[in-house]
Amino acid sequence: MDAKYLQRIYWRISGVIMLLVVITLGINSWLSHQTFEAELVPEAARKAVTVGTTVRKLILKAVESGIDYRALYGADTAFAEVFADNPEFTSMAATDAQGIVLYKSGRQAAGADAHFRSAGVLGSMDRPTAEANAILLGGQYMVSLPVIQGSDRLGVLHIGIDRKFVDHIMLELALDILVILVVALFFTIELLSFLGGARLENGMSGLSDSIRRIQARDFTARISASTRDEVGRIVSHLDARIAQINAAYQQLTRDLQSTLKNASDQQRAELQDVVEKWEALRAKFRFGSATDAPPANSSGVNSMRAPLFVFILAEELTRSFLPGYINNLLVPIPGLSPQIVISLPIVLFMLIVALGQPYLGSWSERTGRRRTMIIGASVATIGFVATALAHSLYDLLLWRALCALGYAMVFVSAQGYILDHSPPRDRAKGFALFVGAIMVATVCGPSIGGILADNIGFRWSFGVAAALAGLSIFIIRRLPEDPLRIGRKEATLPKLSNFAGLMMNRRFMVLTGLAAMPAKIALTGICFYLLPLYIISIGGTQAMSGRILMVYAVLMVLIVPLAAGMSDRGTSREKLVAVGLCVSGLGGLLLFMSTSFWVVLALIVTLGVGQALSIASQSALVAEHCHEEIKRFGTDTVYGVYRMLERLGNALGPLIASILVIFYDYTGAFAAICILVLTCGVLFFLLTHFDHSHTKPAELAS
Amino acid sequence: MMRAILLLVAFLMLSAPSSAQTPPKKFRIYAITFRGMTDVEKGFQDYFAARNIPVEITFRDLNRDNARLPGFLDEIRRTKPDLVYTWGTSVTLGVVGAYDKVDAKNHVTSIPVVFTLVAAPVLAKIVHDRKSPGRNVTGVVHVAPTETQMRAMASYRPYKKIGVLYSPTERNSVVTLEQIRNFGKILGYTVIEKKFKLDTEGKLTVEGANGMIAEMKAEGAEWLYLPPDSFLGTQAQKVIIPAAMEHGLPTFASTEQLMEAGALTGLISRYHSVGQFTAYKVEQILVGRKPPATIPVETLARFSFQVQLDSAIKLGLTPPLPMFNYAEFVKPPPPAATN
Repeated sequence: MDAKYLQRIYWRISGVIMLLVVITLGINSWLSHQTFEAELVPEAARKAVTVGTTVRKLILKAVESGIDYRALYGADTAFAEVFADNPEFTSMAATDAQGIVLYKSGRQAAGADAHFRSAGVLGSMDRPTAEANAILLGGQYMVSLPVIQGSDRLGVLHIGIDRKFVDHIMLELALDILVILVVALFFTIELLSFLGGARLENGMSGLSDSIRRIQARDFTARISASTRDEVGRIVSHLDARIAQINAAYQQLTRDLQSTLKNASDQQRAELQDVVEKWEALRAKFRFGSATDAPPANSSGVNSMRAPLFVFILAEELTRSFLPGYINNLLVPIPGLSPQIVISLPIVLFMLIVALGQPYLGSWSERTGRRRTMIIGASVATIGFVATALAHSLYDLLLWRALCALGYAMVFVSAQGYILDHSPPRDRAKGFALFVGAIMVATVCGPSIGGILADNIGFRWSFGVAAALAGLSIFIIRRLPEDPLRIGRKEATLPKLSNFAGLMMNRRFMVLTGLAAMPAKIALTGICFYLLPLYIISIGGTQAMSGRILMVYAVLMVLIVPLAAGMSDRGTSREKLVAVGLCVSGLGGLLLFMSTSFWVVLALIVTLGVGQALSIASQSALVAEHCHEEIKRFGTDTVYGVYRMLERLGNALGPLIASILVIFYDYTGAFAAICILVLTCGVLFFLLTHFDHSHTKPAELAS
Repeated sequence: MMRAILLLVAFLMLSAPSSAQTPPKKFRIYAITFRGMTDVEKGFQDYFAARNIPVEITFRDLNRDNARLPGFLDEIRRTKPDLVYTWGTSVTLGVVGAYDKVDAKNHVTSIPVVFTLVAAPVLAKIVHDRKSPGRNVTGVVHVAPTETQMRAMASYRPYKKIGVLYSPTERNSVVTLEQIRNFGKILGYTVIEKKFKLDTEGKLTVEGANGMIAEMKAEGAEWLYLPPDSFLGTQAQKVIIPAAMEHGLPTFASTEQLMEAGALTGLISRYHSVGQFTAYKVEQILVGRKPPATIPVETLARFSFQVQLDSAIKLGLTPPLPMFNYAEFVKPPPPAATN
């Protein structure tokens, strides 16, 4: 109860902070838009004057060469060259001395013709040295320069600055602030949990344990307070009172015993009543010192959250800019197209994580979870430092392999640590914490990484990732030593015969091949490969990729619990998975209507919603669909094979996407992967809907 | 860049010792020109003077008469100069012969030959390959790559049809035309080709040229391209360019000579620079002791975009505004100028 209660408090605190900041941000951005525009426009106007002067010089040079001002050729080309170098300029025009347009290029502002003929503008020819001011006209700031040769008033040259360029700069700024805000929200929750929450939670559970014992009339003396905060003090007070009561009881017992010892028979008979009451007291309450061990608390599991979060954040940071970085280090590999080469480091990473986990899992069991985590985090830190200094694609592959190895080591040992530290009834809670830390990292990582990459460059951003991974080592070192594992059997590696057995199972393969693997292919293919490259290809920034990936992650965070609730309330898991897959794929169909950036954003949103709907049900369905296999091979083995195949999907995603890009370009590749997922969703629905060979608890219940 | 470094290195190596030594041995160069002294020879001599390289140049002029060449070849055999300089394709071929028709008795083989103002040395069979000539000959090409010229023409005024008037007997022109035609498929233009007529003796004649230019204009030609054609070069100022002006057809020059003959515009190498660059090749051979067979045949790295403004205004085809940033505006030739 405490954890949920506290979580609610965190969310409320963060919500209030968020609301306050959003309101402040809104007011601030409105105000700063005013000042910004006031500052930015004169700056842009000065630039327009500089550029305009160059064009005017060109015109005057032509006129001085004997060419009639009214018969200039290629003025539009000269204007177009200006636009190419200065995207904030949207229109240029040159008029004669009466204000009639002779040459123009770009998108003319509404009402420009009348403006050009106005006395104020034509008057500028009488004041050739006066400073040009920007005048807002039809969404453009117009800057006008007189064109005069000697005493000959030829006309006026006009440059229009798009008002939207101010809005665009503001929007970029506001988006970055919003991203930081969302990240700050999640960080706040993490920090609250790390700094006070875990301790508070432990204190509260100590307090409730004490009260529960008192309710059960258990006054055995023990030290329940595990923290030294307010709650801890309350618990110590309780402990002290209990100790007093215990002492009083002991005193009473001793007094009674000594009195009885020295008493005469008659006195004993008189005391019989007292003895009975004492007996009754003894029967009703428990006194003395505790003999049983204090109940295991989940402090170990809670303290895992921080290091895991920091470590995963390091890797997530790189998601939005890794493909761009690889592109920079590209060396041609004969026989392989550059698209595929870019996917190689990502594929290699996923492959190592997929294949390494089962082995690293049993290794970490022998070596110790904490030790494995420290080794893994160190290996990854070295990997990140080397990635930051990478010379070419070839050594980059090696460094990414190191990162992958470290990632897999930390991932499996953290998972194992939580398993070891949580009693079976708390296991689900433990995993929720594990998944939570990772999800928060996926929200914060790519967006912050994108902003970093845009501002400090790829290599320094990897440096930041290295620093985070390094920091996680210190936090892991603070974890308690591994407990002795009692009664847990050694995890066994899946054998080839297990694979074969499961591969022959149609239900298992329908779930793995049509749901789990396509979902992962879509995730890594689209989010980790296509999206960052596509955004760069349309002139976007790494920060934009990061923002979109954050939208995806936030959707996951919001919808996964909802989907879990739906499944708990009786919606069939098969349906959730099928609907989720279809929704993931639907965004791809939008691309047939338009290939604009917004459609790609919509695609990512539908992908996020779809994945969130199906992800939790997918793994739960393994247990439902594979009763016999679980009986034959054991839960661990079946899930081990399932996870490994799912992760192979992770590795396949970028590879498939890169091949699709060669044939269909980016938007075509987005669409193709979506259609693949959509098809899998429909097939999955058909195959599970008409297959009644297994029990469906949800349907039975309804 | 490489060239600049080489120049610098050569300069550092040479300038100091040459001034300190007692009168050094002069390099003897035997130069044969085709139509008298041009700016090329001036640039050639200027380079040696500027670099303090002692040379003694014997100039001989063919004056467009190939019959004079055997006498020069005799003189070369007798005086045994350190290097022979040849001006233009026909002089060069006369001195060294096509690589598959070398006559050891007649042609110069043992003395290094450096040519200049040859438009297409590979096509003329002077060298096998521009990068490594493979024989005792190297030199300088003065014409910009055909593709670059076609693009330059389009930047002045875009076109769909161009006319080319050329000598069918000049292999150089035939091959240039083929390049123009091929490149038209990429840039999207067609070529209207007209050949100079041959007289009863089989010699090229300018007769009918005016009519052919009129036909081109009528067929929709938007430019008259002037290839590096020797015969065309001799007729450009007197006949061809005036005819084109008469029919309102702008002319695009491939060489400075054609530009000087009054063409509207052109992408050309300045003759003075060509001469300096030729002298640099000579320096590599005589001072640097590099065998000519290993010295690549090159063009200048930069070309001049020249425009005759008066003609442009007369034709109503003024240069595009951005061109005032980089084009070089030249005056029309004086009427009495000789080629």
